[in-house]
Amino acid sequence: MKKFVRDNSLSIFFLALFLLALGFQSLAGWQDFNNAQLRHHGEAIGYGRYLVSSEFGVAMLENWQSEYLQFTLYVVATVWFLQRGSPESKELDQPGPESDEEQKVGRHADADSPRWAGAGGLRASLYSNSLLIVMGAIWVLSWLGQSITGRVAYNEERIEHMQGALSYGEYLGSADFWERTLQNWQSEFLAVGSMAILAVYLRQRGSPESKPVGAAHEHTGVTG
Amino acid sequence: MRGRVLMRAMFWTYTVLIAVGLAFYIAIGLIGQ
Repeated sequence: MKKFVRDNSLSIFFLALFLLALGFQSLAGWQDFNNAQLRHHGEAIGYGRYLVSSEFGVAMLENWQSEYLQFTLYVVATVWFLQRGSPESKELDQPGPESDEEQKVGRHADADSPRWAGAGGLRASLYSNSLLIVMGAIWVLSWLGQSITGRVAYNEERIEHMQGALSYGEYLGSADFWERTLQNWQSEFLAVGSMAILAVYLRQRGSPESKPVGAAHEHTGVTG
Repeated sequence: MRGRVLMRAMFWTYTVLIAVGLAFYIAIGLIGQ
């Protein structure tokens, strides 16, 4: 048990933080929703009803989609784009997908390589991009979910104000959809870009996200 | 060996959590709740 916790402490820590934050988000969102209902002379709803509402769904998924877009882009952009001096970047002479030998693909696979890495053909191609495929799929699905739940939540508001409901296509072109989307994107892009460049000159001792404290600013692609 | 099984369990915990979360709220939106 002790070993399990130590071996998986990073994913356990973030899972616990996620559940706590989502739990408190749902409580705060429920209060906020009911406050708005009372202001509009509507009826307050129970916590259980709020948990299965599109209002809660869109609040959750608009943030999911931007995080997964961030990681999807980061995974693929760092194949080609470089940042001199950054631990987030590959070495400057290695842009691109690299050779099968460097990547241990096909006949270059080791005895303990994942089976699909050594399989060759379609399976090796799929496995070679599996992180991008899965992170990208989660992004697309959460953005789709944001649009579907966002439309329901937005239409409820419109109906309360005696305005007509929007079709799905109309909602995709609406300011509400794009404001929810872009307010999340901009923060992710800033955070990722600043992380790549700040880590050239700044250090965190012991973190694999940083270079070793004594590494030269010029050194690229070194984690410590 | 047991360590590997538990590592895989963490992988699936996250994967299932995300899949269920996505499917559930897409369904909530589709039925217009």
